[in-house]
Amino acid sequence: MVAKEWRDARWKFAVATILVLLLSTYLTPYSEIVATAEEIGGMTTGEGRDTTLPPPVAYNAERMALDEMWGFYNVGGLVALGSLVLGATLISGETGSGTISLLLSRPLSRTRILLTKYAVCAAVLLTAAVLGGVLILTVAALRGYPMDDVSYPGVLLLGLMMWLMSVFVLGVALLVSVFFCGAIPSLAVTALALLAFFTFPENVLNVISIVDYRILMNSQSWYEFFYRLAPGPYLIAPGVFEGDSPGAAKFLYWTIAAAVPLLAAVWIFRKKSY
Amino acid sequence: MADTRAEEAVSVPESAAIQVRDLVVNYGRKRAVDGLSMTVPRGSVYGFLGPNGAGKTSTIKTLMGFRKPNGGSAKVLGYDIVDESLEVRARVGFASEVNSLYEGMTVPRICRLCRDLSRSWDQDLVDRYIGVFSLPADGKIRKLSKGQKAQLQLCLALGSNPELLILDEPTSGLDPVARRAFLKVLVGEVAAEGRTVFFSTHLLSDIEAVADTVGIIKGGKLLVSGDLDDMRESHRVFRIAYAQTPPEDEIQNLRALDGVNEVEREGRGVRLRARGDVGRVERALGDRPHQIVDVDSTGMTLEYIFVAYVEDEDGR
Repeated sequence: MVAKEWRDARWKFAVATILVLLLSTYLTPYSEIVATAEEIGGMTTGEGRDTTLPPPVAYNAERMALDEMWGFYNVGGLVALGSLVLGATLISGETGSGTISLLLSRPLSRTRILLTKYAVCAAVLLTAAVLGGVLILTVAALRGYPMDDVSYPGVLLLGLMMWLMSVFVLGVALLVSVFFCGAIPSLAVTALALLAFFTFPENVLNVISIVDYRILMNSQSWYEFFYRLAPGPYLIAPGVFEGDSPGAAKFLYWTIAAAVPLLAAVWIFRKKSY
Repeated sequence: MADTRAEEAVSVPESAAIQVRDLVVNYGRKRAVDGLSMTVPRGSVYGFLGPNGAGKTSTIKTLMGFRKPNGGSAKVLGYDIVDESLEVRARVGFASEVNSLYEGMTVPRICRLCRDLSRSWDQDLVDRYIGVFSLPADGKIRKLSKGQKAQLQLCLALGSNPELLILDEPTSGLDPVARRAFLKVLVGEVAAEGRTVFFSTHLLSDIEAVADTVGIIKGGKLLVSGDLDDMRESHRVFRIAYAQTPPEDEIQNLRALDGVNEVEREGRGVRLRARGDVGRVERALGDRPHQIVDVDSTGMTLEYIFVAYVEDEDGR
């Protein structure tokens, strides 16, 4: 079963790896960053200067390099996108093609079927996240970045967080794929579900305000509660490259976020009729 | 209100491969299987016959654990289909009308996958059946014809050396040549090895070709079940030739006889369809007030039997 799942996932993994390699060429050489920092430094003297940021932070070339590396960690977004593609077809693909009958007619528990599929994808994503992290550092070193400023534990934590976020996406995609038959509807609904999640609570509050804005005015406690659940504050910041810990709350948030759709998918898959 | 599963366990006779009692399966508000009770004897080739939408596939899916029953209970090879579903699936080979093969795989690769998914695997047996069907040993599955895919599914179902084969409309959509080849192997090889075969179909010719036992299902209910030869014997058509055209009261009296379920005028005579204790009907015909010159009795074809039960159920 693991071999079959790896076989199913490997071409997607190969495509993602190629994309990551292509993406790596977009990392700006450090010499250009220094030049840009000097240029900005020159421009920002006098009236145009941003006084809200201390100059050493605002115009520091090393800082800009770290930000650039952070931007390069769009690899994380790519991994999340990969997890969407991997997860959305896990069960719906089997249902759509009829091959689910082959799996369900064998002496395997549904939990095992689902978790095997999930585990293989999660392992693929972990490998992709690690490869992405290693690639960032390698390419950065090759392009002359001041690697002394990089916090390697920070990058490790970042990789782990990125992986947790991607398995959250994988879990949502898996949950949706249990409900749907065929890859396309499953992919579309997963994308919509994720969009709804990452724009929460503004999306909900906007809808409520359209219906009747007075509801919001009279529900201050709910308003605050929604914001406490919102994913925004728990997203990772570039500071991890400099050694900032992502924080226990963020880990807890994404661990729970990753576990909930997975557990829901297992529960529903066990009960679903085929 | 949702149905609850009957708590009473089904007691399975040693000779029963499948024992179903009061099985209920719903699709939302629609009842697909409505209190079905039946027994499939071990070693039999049981044809599960019914029109489209009769509840055959729903019954099979429930037996295989693809869905849980909304009521009643069932045991397969002595194992409860809900509580011991894994044990059931470890001992049952299953193939359906739907192509459940991974199109991108080759024959050896899907054999390896099924081996990995099964508790036991007899590759020699699979290879033998692949040879019997003359399937390409290394071919890509997507290049196989529909008939070959059905044959491969049967080979894979047999790979775990199952005591019981459950086949859901296995010949549906096959051309006559492929169907004949499939059924020939099913009865000539698989059943001959002593395995129980339970297969659903809406094709009477399939049943007549291979089944020794038959159950007819309609509207989720089992209408009749039993040995096919006995069924033919206990369902007879009498053609009665009278000396003179019988009056209407004679027709009414014939209709009132026990076991008679249809009487039609046929020229000067009468065609009478009877089931059950047909001997009693035969004796009653010897004692008619109107002169009978000839009685010709023939066993009903399965088609007649099937139509008779289905039409009775429809209230025709």
